[in-house]
Amino acid sequence: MDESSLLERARSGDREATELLVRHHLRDVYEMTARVLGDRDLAEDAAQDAFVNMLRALPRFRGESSFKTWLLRIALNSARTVGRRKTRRRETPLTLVDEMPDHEVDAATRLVRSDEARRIEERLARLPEKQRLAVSLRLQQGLSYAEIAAAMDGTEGAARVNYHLGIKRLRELMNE
Amino acid sequence: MTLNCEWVSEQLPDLHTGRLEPLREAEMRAHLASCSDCREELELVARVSRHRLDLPEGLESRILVAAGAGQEPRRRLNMLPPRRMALAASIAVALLGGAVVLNVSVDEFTVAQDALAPEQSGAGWIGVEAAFVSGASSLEDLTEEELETLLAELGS
Repeated sequence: MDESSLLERARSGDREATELLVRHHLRDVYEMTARVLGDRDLAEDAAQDAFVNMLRALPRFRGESSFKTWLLRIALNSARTVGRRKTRRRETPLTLVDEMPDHEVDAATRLVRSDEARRIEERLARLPEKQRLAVSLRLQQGLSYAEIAAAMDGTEGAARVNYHLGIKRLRELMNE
Repeated sequence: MTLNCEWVSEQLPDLHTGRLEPLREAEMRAHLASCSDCREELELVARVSRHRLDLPEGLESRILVAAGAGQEPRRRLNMLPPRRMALAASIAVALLGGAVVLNVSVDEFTVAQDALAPEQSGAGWIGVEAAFVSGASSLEDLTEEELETLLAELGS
């Protein structure tokens, strides 16, 4: 089923359609909130807020941008709201998953990949927010620069610059 | 065509995911053959692209409930804070005549309701019925405030 039909059904309160939308976009939304907040519990709260806000705003979604980038912009705003709201920061670390299924790698490889994943996450966390988001959206979510611009409510030029600066800085940090 | 490294850097993610047109890909590969800096960056692109964050367990269910599209996920009583567990246990004792039950199904509530003397029904059962109407099928689905209200009703 194409996404426009799914959106139409979700607008009219179809639970199955809502469930499919959530399932399809959950990881991307959670990663956006996690990259902004750096804390799993806060990111969960923000991801939940993002989907609730999305459903409230869905009747007004005109399709001028893709649904995904529109939802990611909502997620970014939700994350920033949660970040401002929290007076006491909880430090709940993010956990990682390696995209390669476990049965395709041996235990030693899994251990190496876990260490590398941690190194990458630690260094990503040290980038300025806009660079961190640009790198994550480009490499981990596969967005184009135009889509990154839409998700971050900026320009395509800014998306390119933030990615360029971010990946360069990430390289320096990985070589430390 | 001679490519500059800044432009190549911007295109490396698309090269990695195979989204470049064949001619552009060939130009990129020719550049990479003679530029160790860009090759190193391509390797980093591949490494970062492989790693995604783990979704917290139960997040999808919680979001669906919040969005009004899912069933309230059941939480086991032994995972509740001590105060809520104590409240729930007190209510279970009051409703089921002394038997402490930690996972009470709708059927068990119905049997318990039928078994109670008429004077024990009324306000207390309004609370339980309200809980059923709200979708809570057992004590563990009620919030601490709802448990306190229910206990107060049963005690009055």
